[in-house]
Amino acid sequence: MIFFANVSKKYGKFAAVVDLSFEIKKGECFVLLGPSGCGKSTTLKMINRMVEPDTGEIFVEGQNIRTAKPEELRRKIGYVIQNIGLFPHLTVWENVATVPRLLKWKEAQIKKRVEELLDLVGLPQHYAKKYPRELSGGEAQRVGVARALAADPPVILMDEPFGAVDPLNRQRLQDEFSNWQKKLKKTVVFVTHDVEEAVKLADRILVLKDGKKVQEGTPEQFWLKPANSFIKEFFGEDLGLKILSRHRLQELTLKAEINEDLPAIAINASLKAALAKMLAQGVFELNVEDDHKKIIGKISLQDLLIVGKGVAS
Amino acid sequence: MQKNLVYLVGALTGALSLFVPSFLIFRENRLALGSPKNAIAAFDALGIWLFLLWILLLGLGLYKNKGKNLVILEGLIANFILIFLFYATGKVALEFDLKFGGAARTSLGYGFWLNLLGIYLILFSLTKKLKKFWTKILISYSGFLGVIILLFFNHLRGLSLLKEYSLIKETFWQEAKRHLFLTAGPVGVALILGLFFGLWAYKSHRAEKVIFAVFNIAQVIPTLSFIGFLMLPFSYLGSNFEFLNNLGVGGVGWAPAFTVLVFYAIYPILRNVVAGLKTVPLEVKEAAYGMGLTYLQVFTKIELPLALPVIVAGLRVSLVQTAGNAILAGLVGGGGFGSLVFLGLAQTADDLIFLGAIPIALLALILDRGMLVLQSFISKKEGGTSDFLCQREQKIREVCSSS
Repeated sequence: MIFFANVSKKYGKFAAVVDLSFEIKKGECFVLLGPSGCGKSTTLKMINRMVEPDTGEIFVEGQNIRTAKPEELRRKIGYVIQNIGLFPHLTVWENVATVPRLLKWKEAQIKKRVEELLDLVGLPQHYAKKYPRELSGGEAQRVGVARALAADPPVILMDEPFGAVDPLNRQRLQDEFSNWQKKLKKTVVFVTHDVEEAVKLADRILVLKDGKKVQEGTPEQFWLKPANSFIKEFFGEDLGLKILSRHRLQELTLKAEINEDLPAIAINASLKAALAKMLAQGVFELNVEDDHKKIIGKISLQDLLIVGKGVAS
Repeated sequence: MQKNLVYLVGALTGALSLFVPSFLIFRENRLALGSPKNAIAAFDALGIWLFLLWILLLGLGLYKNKGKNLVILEGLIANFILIFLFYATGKVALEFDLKFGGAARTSLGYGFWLNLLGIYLILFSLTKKLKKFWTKILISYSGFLGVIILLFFNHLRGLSLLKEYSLIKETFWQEAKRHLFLTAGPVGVALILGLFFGLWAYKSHRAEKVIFAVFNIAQVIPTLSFIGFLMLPFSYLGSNFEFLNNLGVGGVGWAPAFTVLVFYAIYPILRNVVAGLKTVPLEVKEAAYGMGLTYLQVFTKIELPLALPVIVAGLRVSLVQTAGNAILAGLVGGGGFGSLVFLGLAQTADDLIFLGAIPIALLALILDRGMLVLQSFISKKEGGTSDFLCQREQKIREVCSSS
């Protein structure tokens, strides 16, 4: 879907990206991760030609992007940035409708699409008439996502999209993002410096340092086969726990026998939350409830550990 | 608290101004020595009423914790005083004139002007307290409208000022037209040049330095010496080119004045064009480009609309300033209200000076108000007077102080 072949970029003497090659598959969430100044943002911006590489080729959907007009390329690629950059003189509606208008959609079609998107990002319809200054940080970021999704682009670029949101809202936005992603199956390129966020959202991660690729793979691979001490240190001792947060109780087979005295946990909770609950309550087993608070089975510490084993194999 | 202080000062000024020795000045004919009178002596019973109204305003001002209705009441009383003042003055002037067979002159003394100042201060402090558009308009302009109506129905014809006006009616309107031309013309040219140079300065850092250096110098040269500098080249142009001469271009006349006014009018526009464009947030531009807007679309759909309120603010400063500066044209035979003022100064004819000065002040005021309305209209579209604009203003100040 997106293919980098020996791409380099220098700013003066500073090498921002050095001989970088990788491939992003269709429908995956691909995270560019690394300390600040590692070249991850530059890499992202080369995909929609906001930054031009010095050498190397980049292909999007099989097309060498050098042969595309920047504007036309960008209209096919959603773009979300940290500071959102909503147009302050336009309403939410007009903001979201920007790209469809550039693509000359019919008004009725645009209207339908905007309504759909507000629903998707969980904003009430009357928000369409609001101006950006009337929105909270989280709401504005939701509008930013809706705007990027407006023309239904196959590729979305997200440059630290939740970086400027407070921690509570960030978690909520991350959860919502996973839900949208499950539904929409876009090819997402996501830049962050937050390991927790990367492990939680990524299908695959590419770690950059000083503009060079250090390691590429699934979060589990980083856990089990770290390429070097930098990776080990960067992801931290508790990477295994972070990996647990990628999985939910739904993925396990529950045991049918129920012990009424056990504490209960919701079925859509993460394995990390389940483990935390066991630790807090000093128990080895938990009851599992469905959405209506009805107990439908139980899990044990053993089950959680088996998941770890499954990842390892 | 501070607003109330302005109000109280206004009310006190108004009430006390009635006892100033020279409220109205009566002369039996144009050349006779004037006999000044205070308001009570001049107006008789009407003067007492006027005084009582002012005391009422003062009393209301001392009353704490007032609601919106009381504020409106105060405003209405102040506006009524304004109309009442002009009505009484007109009446007294007519009666005095009748006594002397139409040759008498009644002029306004400084007590009268102080009284107007008192009303202005009160209205100024009250309109700050009012939120609704229509009540604001009512309180700001109803008295003014009343005076216009009195003027329109010739009630004020006994006043010296209007007698002078009826003598030079034709010249007055000719100069009025000329003054409007000397305001709108230079600002129009300055708008085009300001946009051009502003865009240039915005796009190129090098050009910005040169452009601002040039116009800063133009701003610093005293107006009159600037006109002096231009007289030579213009007289050369006028005497060597037939068609320019036919247009009235010469060492004196409208041309040097017009040119100087253009130079002074450019600066506020230029500065605000650059500041307006520079303060468009970077992330907004990045998002716009990233979504696939072309260079031109980013400019017309994002940068220009966001800079517009700032540019209009600059245009407003430029207009008001030029309306006042145009008075200088009178000095070099360029016409406009300035020629009335300078003629009046030469003849020590106060009325003539006022006939020039009052319209200039009114013109500046009207332009200022009109542009303010336009500005609030534009920024409303952008999302109001809120934080966003405040942040922008903050940034604009930074940009301006750096350039």
